[in-house]
Amino acid sequence: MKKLVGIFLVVIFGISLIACSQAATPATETSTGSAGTEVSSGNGEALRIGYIENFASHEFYQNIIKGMKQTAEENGWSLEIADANGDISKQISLGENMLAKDVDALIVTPVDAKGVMPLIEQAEAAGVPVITEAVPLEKQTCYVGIDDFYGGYIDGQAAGEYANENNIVPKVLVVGAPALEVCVQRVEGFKTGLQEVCPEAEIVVEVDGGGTKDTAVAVATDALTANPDINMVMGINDDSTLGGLLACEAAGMDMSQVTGFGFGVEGIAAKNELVNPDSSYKGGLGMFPEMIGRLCVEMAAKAANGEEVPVAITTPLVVMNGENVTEYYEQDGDSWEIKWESVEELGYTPRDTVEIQK
Amino acid sequence: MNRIKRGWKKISEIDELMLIVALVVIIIIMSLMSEYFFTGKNLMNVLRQSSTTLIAATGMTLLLLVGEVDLSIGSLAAFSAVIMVDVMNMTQAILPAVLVAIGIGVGVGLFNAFVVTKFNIASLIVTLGVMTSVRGFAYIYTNAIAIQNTVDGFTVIGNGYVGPIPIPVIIAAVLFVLCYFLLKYTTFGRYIYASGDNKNAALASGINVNKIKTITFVLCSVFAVISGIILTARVNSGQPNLAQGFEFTVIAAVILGGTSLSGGQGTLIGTLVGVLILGVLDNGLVLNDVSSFWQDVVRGAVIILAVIIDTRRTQKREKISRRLVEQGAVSQ
Repeated sequence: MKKLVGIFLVVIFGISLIACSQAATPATETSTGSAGTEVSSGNGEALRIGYIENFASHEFYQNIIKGMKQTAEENGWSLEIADANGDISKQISLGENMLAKDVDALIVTPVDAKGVMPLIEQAEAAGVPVITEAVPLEKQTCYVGIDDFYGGYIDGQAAGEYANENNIVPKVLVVGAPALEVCVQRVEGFKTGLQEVCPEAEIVVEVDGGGTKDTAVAVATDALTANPDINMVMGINDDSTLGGLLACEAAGMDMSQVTGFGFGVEGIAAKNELVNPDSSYKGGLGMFPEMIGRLCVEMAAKAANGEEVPVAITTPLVVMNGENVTEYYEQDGDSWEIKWESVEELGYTPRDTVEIQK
Repeated sequence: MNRIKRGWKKISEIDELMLIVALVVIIIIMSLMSEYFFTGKNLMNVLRQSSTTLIAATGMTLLLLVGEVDLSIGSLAAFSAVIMVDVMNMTQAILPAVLVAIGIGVGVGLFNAFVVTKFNIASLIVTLGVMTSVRGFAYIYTNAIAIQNTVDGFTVIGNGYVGPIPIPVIIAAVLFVLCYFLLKYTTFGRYIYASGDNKNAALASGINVNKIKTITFVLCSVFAVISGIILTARVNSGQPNLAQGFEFTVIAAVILGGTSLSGGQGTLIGTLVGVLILGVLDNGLVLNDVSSFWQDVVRGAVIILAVIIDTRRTQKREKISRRLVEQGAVSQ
């Protein structure tokens, strides 16, 4: 019996060791300590940047990391990534570890705006600049984010224009995530933009898809039962929009009469739908996660080198459809790779104030 | 049947009746609140969406009856689903993929049973750990990117009909009826009740309690995988974030239906009614455009109510047993 327990414990220990060595970075090539990636940058120093994210378990963040890694590699900077997985105390300890390893800059996607402040204080005391992503804090060196309302707004306008061109009176099902303020902003922006261009458009019903596809399908199905006249689906992310469209299809609707306009274009599925002429997904607000990652790393490097960085920057947003998606992304086998030249041309907007939620 | 069991059965029957009345009342209220509720199409939707909960709840009922629980069913559904879609894409065939998924279910079920029975650790803790790590594996396997299905015809499992009846409903009905007969009319079923009711007495009567538990753990896992397959067919992709929180919905439905958390008491009919109550509530609230936050409140209230009823039920049983023992009607 004891022998069995012993073997069992050794196996568990072994598995966790293997898991830990892979857990800190999704792929270990660019973590500090692996040889060959610490090439000197222009001023003779290998910049070491640490990124602690909130929730690697989403394609969106996988793409942010992709952009970060490409940027770091191009410039010979060393990038270490750790995932707090929604746990604020873990985020702080991971950050403390990075500070102890003397990183030159920190990038953080805060789990919680107030809860992460102890880490920010420590970084400040150590003279390490902090770049925040997606969640603005009371203080940071630079905040990199998108304008959710504006993104929803141009998406709504695009939806309205499409409706006008095709003689559709939009009756919209919104698959939202009302628990998240940024998602509320996206929806508000969409409604404003849509109704400016197409005043007869009607927001028929809003449901909570929780941001996941299976929940989106379920709640959209019920909403369609009560509102069979729906002909447009708007989702706050790819899963929500595509889930809503799947519900329409399953309900036996004529999909040539249904359109989807969503927010995000975070990953492969959405881009595949956009280039597919038979798909109902006609337009998506592209967030360019790879660009967000790139800008985070660039700002981090600048700040670490003592250069001035804006208080905040807003990253580019473009409504993508079947025609223009290939301007910004190209298909590479099963996945889509960003075309850096065209996306960088979009630039970013520096700001001198940060709006934080109270 | 001795007097204690008769007394308990009476309580269960009254509670079951009350549950059915509650379901009917909720249906009436929902019908009045929305003209779309009591339509053929919507009722079929409610049944279809409840099917996945019912399948997993059937497995969970068997497990709770032997006094164990499995929190990992949501994660397992996701993990087996992403592997299944990958295999399906590779083989361009549905059946081998489904078999692989079920195999994973059997494996995880055996693992759960092994750790619980061999090391005598509470299943709550073990399956909590399995829930976390299996979800992690799902993300690792997919790198957090959902795997799109490329095989035609797969969605039929989730969205198809045989005549007027949705296919998931048929699957759920078949599994439910099988388990109902298993539980009520076979020795195995009686052993399940015995093992959960009084483990030591069962062991003393020569019942291999560990074997019973192992089988029910595996059934619970496999049924969770089947639910996952149906859910995956509805989204036509292997989503690593599939079925998040599924275990809580399923356990809530089972407890609402009268199965005790401490084992040995409960019926599948009760589970069916519990699943339908939650399904009707969810559907009705969306039909009436009620804010999702209120939906959360209602669900939470139903769960709390279910636990209170369960506790009251257990206390009542103990009171009856005690009284009968004191009266000398039954020897200790």
